[in-house]
Amino acid sequence: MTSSGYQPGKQNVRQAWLFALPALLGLLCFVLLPFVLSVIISFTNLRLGSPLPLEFMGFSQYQRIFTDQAFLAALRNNALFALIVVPLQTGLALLLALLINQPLHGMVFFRSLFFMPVVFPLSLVAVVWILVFAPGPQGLLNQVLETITLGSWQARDFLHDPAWALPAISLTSIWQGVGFQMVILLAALQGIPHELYEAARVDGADRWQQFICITLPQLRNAIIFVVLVTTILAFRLFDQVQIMTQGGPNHATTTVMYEAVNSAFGSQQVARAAAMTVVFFTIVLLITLLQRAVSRHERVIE
Amino acid sequence: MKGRQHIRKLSVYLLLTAFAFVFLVPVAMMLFGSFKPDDQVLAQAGRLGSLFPTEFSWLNYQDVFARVPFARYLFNSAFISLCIVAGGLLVNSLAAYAFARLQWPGRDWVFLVVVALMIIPLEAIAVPLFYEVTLLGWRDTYWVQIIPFIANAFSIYLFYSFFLGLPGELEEAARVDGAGPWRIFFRIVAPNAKPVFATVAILNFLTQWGALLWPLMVTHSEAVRPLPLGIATFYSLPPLQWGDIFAFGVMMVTPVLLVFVLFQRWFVQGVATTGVKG
Amino acid sequence: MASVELRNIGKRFENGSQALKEFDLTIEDGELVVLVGSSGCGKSTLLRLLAGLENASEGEIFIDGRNVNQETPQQRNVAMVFQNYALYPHMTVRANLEFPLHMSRTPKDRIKSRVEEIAGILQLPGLMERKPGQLSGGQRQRVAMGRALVRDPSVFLLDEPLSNLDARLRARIRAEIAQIQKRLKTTTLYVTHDQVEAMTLGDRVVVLDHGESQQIGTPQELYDHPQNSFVAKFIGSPGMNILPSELIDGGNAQIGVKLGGQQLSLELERQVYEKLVPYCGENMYTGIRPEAFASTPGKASVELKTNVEAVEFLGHETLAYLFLPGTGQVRTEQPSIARLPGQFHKPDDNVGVFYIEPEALYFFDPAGRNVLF
Repeated sequence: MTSSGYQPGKQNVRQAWLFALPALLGLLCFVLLPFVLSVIISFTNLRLGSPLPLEFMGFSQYQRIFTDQAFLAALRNNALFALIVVPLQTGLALLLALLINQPLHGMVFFRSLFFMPVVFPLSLVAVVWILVFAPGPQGLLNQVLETITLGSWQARDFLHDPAWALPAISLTSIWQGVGFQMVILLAALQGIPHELYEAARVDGADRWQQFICITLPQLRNAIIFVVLVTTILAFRLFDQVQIMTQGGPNHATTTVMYEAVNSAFGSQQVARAAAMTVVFFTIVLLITLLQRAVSRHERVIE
Repeated sequence: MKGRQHIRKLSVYLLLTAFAFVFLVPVAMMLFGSFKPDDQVLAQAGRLGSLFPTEFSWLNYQDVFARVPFARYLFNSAFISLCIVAGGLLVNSLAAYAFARLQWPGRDWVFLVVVALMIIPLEAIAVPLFYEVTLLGWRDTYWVQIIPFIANAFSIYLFYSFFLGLPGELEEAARVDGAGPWRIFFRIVAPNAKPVFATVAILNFLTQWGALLWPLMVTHSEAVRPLPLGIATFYSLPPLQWGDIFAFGVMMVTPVLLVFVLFQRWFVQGVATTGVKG
Repeated sequence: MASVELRNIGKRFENGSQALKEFDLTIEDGELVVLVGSSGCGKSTLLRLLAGLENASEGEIFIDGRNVNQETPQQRNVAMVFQNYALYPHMTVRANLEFPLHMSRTPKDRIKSRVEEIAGILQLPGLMERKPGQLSGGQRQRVAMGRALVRDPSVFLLDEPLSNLDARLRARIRAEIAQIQKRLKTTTLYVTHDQVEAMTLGDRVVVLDHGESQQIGTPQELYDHPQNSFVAKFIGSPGMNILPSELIDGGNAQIGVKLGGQQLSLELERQVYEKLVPYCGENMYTGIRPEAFASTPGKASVELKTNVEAVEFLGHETLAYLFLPGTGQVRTEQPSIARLPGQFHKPDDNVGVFYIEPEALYFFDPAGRNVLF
């Protein structure tokens, strides 16, 4: 039902502005303005403490970062990280949601349990998992893997091994984030009308067919949403890198945000950092638009 | 048929328990480790022993308080988070109501801009924002960690969706009864919008409690730094005492866990509705 | 207490649809006017315009002689009962009743006495501390009315107040509403899609179709003298049967009515005959109310042969579903309905012969106008 407005006398418009003003002001000053500044600065040579005068540099900052090994590594790492985490985390979340969706006792307990890590601050999670990844045969993960593979596992220093550092961080992130996705998928699962499954059973579909033909399509939009959010979060990766690996070893775990923060505070190169964040934003924007296009397409079909 | 059902039930429980085990491992390690002396923690690090309480002492906890101003960190986190949440609930809900229910010129265009702003994460604006707050002289205070985060596009969107879904009749009845928009909002709409207020409050609280990047950038004195920074610096503070670190972690996460346990339904509902709407 | 005048009201929505067109209505002080029509006809829109919840695109609204186009609902002193009652769910019944008085800054002791008074009239004491969620449908309805009446409004507006109640409750509350209105003598505009409510409650009734007023009159006037076929079909349960037919001038105050395969010969009064002559030879419509069918002949009745498709026995009467051969009814699957007293059995050969008094026939031109109005 559309809301009809008040008789738009002057008084009512004024009141409406009063309602919206604090938030709009806040968004203007602390989100829109910095963003616009960010874009502008990325075209300059702004650098703290530099004797050089401020000048307009065009796209040269962008050229520089795209030829910088560290930044390219960061882009690659973000993409890799997303490619590892998103499918794994989503798949695991779906599995857990399906398991918990059974009408059995104690499901609320499991649901709370799996959701609990979401409540932990990332910084804490990072610190605790440092110990899990402890090097040498005494490290917990090393021990577990040795037990599972019956002794053929060689102890590794995960966080300092270029091959294992990123997967290690991925594991940490999955542990922390899967509960969030699981809860969303669970809600979507519970929204699927029972009659659909009953009709399918009457039509002779087995469990697997029911899953493919009913569950997955009904979950489509929820899955798309969850993939989107996780992907965006994957590109925002910072906390774990800051605490666990500081971008190393050899840029194996550096990320776009980590590089940006380092540029801004480590080497005071503000314009460079701004360029990086603009690149980051563009990526996020593209992914979001893609998601909306894909899910809108579905709605039209329906 | 019954047999198959039993096997299925059993396998579900088995799988869930296996996963639960994996999930609990780091938590158990942290919890029990916090009560053990450091040498034991390291010694047991690789073994099952780390997952069980083999000793019990408050030593680590005392140590934490001795080495870092934990109480201060805790207070800071609580104060900052609560201010952001409270301020946000007021400011964002009012704005959302203006978008959802009031007519004013330019409303739809402004709303579009607000929705677009949702995508911009903190990281994309952190650097210029940093300079902005420096110019304002807000560095190293509480306010720099609070004010920029009160207005939140995502919160506005959540409120907006909810208000749109409210049947308009209640507000119309209030109009006919003679109430103006302020009265209608505070007396009629808000009391009937408890779910969305809870959802927004919880989501924002969770986000702010774990904030690391921004406080790292804009603060340097322990007087105003929040917990996540605390644990990061604690970790890098020699000597590396895992027992202490775990104690820190346990205390850091307990308030949030408490809130979680108490308001579990709202938590899960809140997170779920963001997804279902999405 | 006030009179209401709606002058040339038009309402166009943003999407271009025209909800109301050139609508005029005057409601006298203390009168209960029922606005009736099917869904989407614009009746709720009109109510909302009168309440001040929306602005008219054209026209003026007067309450007590005062142009209120620019006034808020409160300024107009109107009160409204919403279709879903719109009771404030988080407040008790008492708080709900007090709310309008708080809004108009009535002094506290006056609020208290007024609420007690209204609660008494509507039989609400005992429910005062409950919340709407704890009330039954009928009780909620009464609280909604109480909240509307507590301000002693000039105009009382009701938007389909009975549509959410079950049939039994509806009849009882209908009577209650009529009683209360008579007692308080508040000028009332009542909107419904149910013509039974219109007939039983209204001092006058307005029939609305697609935003245009079809007829305004007392229930009796609407029943006996419908202005067009829409009103004829709408009023009555079931409404009038309208059949395509042709009129034949038989000379000498006689008109033949060709209904499909049969022709009825009518002997009419001079004036009636002369009114009908111009329409002979055109495609007309003949209207017969279900109540007009008799199974035995009367004084001047004409005979009508029909195919009886089905009968429904209701106890005190029987509804017979009839097809008149040759009128295209079978094709369109819209039978005529006859109401016959007592029990009427379906004839073995399905042929039903009925008798109609000529005065009971109505004639509508191709545009649907009642030519004998």
